Amino acid sequence: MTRLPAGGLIDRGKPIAFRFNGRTLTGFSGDTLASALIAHDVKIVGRSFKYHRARGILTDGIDEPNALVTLGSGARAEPNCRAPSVELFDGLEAYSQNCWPSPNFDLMAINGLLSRIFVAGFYYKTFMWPAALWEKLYEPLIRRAAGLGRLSGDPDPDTYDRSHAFTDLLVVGSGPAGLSAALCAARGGLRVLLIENDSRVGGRLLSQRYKVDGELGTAWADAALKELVANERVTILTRTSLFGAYDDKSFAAVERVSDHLPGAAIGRPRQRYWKIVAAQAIFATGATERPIAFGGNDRPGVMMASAIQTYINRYAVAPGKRAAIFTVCDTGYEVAADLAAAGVDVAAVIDARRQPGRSLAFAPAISGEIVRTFGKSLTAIEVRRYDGGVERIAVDLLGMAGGWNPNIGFASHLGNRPDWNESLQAFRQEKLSDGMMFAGAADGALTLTDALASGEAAAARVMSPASSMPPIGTSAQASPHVVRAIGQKVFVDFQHDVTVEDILLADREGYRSVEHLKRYTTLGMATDQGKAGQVLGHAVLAQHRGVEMAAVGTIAARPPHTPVAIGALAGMHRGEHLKPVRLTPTHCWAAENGASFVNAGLWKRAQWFTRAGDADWLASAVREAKAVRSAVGICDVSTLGKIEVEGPDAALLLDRLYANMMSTLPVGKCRYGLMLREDGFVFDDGTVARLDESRYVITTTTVNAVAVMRHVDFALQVIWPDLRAHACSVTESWAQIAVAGPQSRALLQDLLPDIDLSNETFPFMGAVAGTWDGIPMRLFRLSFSGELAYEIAVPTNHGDALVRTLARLGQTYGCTPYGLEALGILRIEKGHVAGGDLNGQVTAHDLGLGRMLSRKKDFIGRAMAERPMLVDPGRQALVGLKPVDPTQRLSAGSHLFRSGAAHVAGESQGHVTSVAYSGVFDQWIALGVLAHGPQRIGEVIVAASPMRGTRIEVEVCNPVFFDAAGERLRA
Amino acid sequence: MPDRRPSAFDPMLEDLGAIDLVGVQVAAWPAARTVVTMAYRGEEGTVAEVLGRFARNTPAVTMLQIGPGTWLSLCDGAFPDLGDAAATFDQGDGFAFLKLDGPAAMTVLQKGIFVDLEATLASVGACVCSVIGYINVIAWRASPNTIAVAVPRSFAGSFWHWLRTAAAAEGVPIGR
Amino acid sequence: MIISCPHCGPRDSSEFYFRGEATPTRPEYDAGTAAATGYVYGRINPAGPQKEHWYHAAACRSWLLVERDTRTHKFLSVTLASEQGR
Repeated sequence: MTRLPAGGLIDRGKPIAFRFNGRTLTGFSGDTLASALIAHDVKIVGRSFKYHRARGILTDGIDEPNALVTLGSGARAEPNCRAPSVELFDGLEAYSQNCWPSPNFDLMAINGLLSRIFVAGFYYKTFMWPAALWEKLYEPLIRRAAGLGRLSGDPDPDTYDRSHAFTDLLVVGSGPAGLSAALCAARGGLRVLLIENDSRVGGRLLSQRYKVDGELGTAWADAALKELVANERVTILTRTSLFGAYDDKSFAAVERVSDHLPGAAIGRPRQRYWKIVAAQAIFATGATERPIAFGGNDRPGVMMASAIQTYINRYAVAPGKRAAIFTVCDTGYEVAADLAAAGVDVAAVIDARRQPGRSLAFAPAISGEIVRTFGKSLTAIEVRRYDGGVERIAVDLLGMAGGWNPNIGFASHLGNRPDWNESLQAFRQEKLSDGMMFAGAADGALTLTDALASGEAAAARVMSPASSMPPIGTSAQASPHVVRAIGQKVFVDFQHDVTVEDILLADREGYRSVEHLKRYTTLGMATDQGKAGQVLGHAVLAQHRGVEMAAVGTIAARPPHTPVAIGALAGMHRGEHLKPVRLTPTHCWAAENGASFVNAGLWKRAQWFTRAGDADWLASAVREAKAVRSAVGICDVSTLGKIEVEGPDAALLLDRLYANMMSTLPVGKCRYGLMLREDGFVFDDGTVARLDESRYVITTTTVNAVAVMRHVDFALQVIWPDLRAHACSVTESWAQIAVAGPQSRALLQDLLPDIDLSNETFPFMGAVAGTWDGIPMRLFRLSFSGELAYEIAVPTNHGDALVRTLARLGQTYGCTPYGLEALGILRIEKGHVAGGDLNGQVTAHDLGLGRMLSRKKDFIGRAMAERPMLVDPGRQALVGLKPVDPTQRLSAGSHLFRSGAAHVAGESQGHVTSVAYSGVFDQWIALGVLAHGPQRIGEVIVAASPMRGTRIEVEVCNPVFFDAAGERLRA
Repeated sequence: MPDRRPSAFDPMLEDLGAIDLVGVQVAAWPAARTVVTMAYRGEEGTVAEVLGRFARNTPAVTMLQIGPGTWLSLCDGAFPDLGDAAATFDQGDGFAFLKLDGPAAMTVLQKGIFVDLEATLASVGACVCSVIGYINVIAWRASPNTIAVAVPRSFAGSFWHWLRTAAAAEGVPIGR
Repeated sequence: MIISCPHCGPRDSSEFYFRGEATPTRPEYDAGTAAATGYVYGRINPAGPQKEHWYHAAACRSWLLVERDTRTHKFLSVTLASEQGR
């Protein structure tokens, strides 16, 4: 155990038991998985992606490329969790990835021997020949080997929440800059939202022993937190990762609500997705330390120096017994001092900068470079001194202090590339989108004093835009450092195993820009998105090509900044709640009567009503259709769009919207209406009823209700804004029930004894408003089924009472509820077009409705409908189809071919659009579109469905199979 | 106050227990008549004046502007005659209404709506038309402590599910 | 993306329906097929500011005339289409 005897921000009074690769270990509350593993001297935590090299913990945060574990098991198993970011909790289970049987002994390490083949770009040069083996052998093999971590394959059992937040100022990061920005803004009265990825505020203050205003940094952070919490205009979200910056000052974040709580916290969401709009945002996201490129720099025991500092100071664990620091900046010395203060033996501080040597009280300072490392996990380093000489030093811990990269990735989410800053020796964000700024180390203010001032100045700038940011102090330069390789691999991207050699190879092969370099070598493409090593990789390229970093540039980061579970983005919208559900007014009654429901857009509509004795759904539907033709049936048609149009110019508007005349419609009458698109194709059909001189109600198909309303609004607001008319949807206001069949009049007369429903007084296509039982009612004599039929409408909340009354009164007549399937059978028997036939590619002429196109007025689509190709008789037009053998079944979508033609795409003359089993004819019938269709009545053709392997001879016939004269309608 | 019309939310409200003001108290809205008024071009000012006077002088009237020249009125029965200035459309039971009482009501609603409610629903009478969980909603501040919500009737069940889920995720109880 | 509706204020783009480039004035039937074809299919498709029609479907149901830069996504102006005096 390397737990230090005292210190740290852990709670030694709260021990925690956890399992790593099946082994039970203990840590303390406040530990992360990484710090607890370090406490147990676990050096090797996994194997690298390509070469399966043994790897240890490299960093202390989200930039971790090596220590990736799978957390949990079963359906909750989550791969690729970064051990330094995993809060320890009781019962935590973690497993190494990419190694078998264990990280210490991994059979796949054989990959390392083949490293000469697995260089960058090997994917492009291998697995090409023979081509036939690609699908059968190469691809399955690659799939097996590819990927990092495995998903469980089970549905996500957790719930996720979603929340919107609006704020005056978003502060990202609660280190010294973030806290001082938040304090300044909160004191100024702004609404502040402070987001912190860690479980507590403080940022780097938690890792260092600095003092602020005379008190320990951590104490200052706690006091700042206390003041912010007391301010009710301030919201603080810890354990929350901002993952994207988007247009118009929108941001996205994920809050880990119960990931750190043991067991599945009942009733609590696992995570919460935040959609934030912030008038201003300050990114106090800190800076990430760069590694140094030298041979063997990936050996377990080599860590980032700043990470060592965190483990010592925050978690009270020492990652080794004898340490060295390899540095190109002054912060490396700080870490060495902290190690010494914690009682760890510091063997040397190796400074690669060519400058006068320092003398340290606690360790020798060497001016030189590390060229190699040794050991399965680190046992020794080889140092080449600048003044000559090579020495081997025995250490089990090496900290790399390669300089700092300000964390500016979010700026490039909005397309702003950073600029290389020579004095900072790092990329800094100069070009900023409106409402976004960086502060603290993220802006290049790398010292504590500068960071505090920077945060405060940023907040001051938010409140008065004229105020300026303080200049960045130039701390000692720390250029990205590359040591020439001597026989050992030099790693740059640890997660994807990209080495300096790979970068030089890419350059030799012509992939010289950073964008090509990325894709060719996969540098920066792993789950860490190159946070640790990408800029170092670009420096390698720049130094090799002999150009300035400014000329080489760097990659734009893209959201998400850290991986996000898909479940978090879905929130509650999954499974049956993917979209809202719309229920009809008679839904409960239908369910009680054995209805099976189908989705029609967002609506649940009754498809058929199962009764005892029905063999299957088809039997139910056929029974219902027969009942309508012989007696009477009732069907909820409330889902069809209903739009009221009112005003002195209402008639004129409808004339312009519909192909046929509507201004001639008398009060108290209905008319079938056809709407075209401006390109001349059929848009929608429905009915128009004139309730009085200047009020109409029009209906639309269910699926087009929203589109038609939008279309009517477009006509009124954009095309003809001077018309004195308005339209308003009343789809939700009326429950509408079709009552259809020879007994429908008798049934309705029982319901409405005070209205004369005789054929003389209320003929076909009549419309009347009245009352039922004191409730407003509208009655329309319309028929979709071809039988004597009506549609009765009452205010929605009375729809349930209406349908129950109709059912009760209807018992005398054998009244049967019918659903969409039966509705389909009835309308197909009558050749009425609907959904499958109105597919957006048919014209009025195709449907045999050419005569409806008025020649007396302009209407939407008139001009284009007259294009020669749209009136060509060779077009595929509506026909009826009957199998020659009445026992055969047709399927919709089957293609139509001349008898004897080959069944290939080029010979298709049309297709089957709607199919039904007719109770009248006791066989399957269909509607379809066929080239020259109306001229081929009587011809026998073939309906073939290559997908189903069926070929059926069909006779072309009149689409109106039944009662062509329409006598039953007009009874 | 007239008899309350049946509401699409009634079955959900029946199942609720009573709670104290820590959570969100819900109740159905007692409007008898819902009307949409759309002013003809050039008449927006006239209509605004007539409806404004109606709202001020008649008890239990809620007047919400839901678009340019468009108002949603909740009233008891009588409605002013707008002559040739506007088209009026009775909405019947087209909307389902809910009253949400308690300070947590804003917090819960804000979760679901992509509009800054602190700015938009600041004063009594202020209203906003937007979307919650893919459902069109109209929300207004009915009193200092009450927000009322209207959704198209057929969506009542799905809206109720959103409300329960969003409140539960915050640990906010919903009751009568 | 957030769009400033002249009536409702700034709103998420998911509240809107995008119809496309704002077509010129609809020609009368008498103007002939060429004019109708131009109206239905002809588009300027500029790299730069483009006039477009958007519909605030989820809120005030206003059709909006928008000027948007197709290169930068920036909304240059948003006005009620009905006030255009076309």
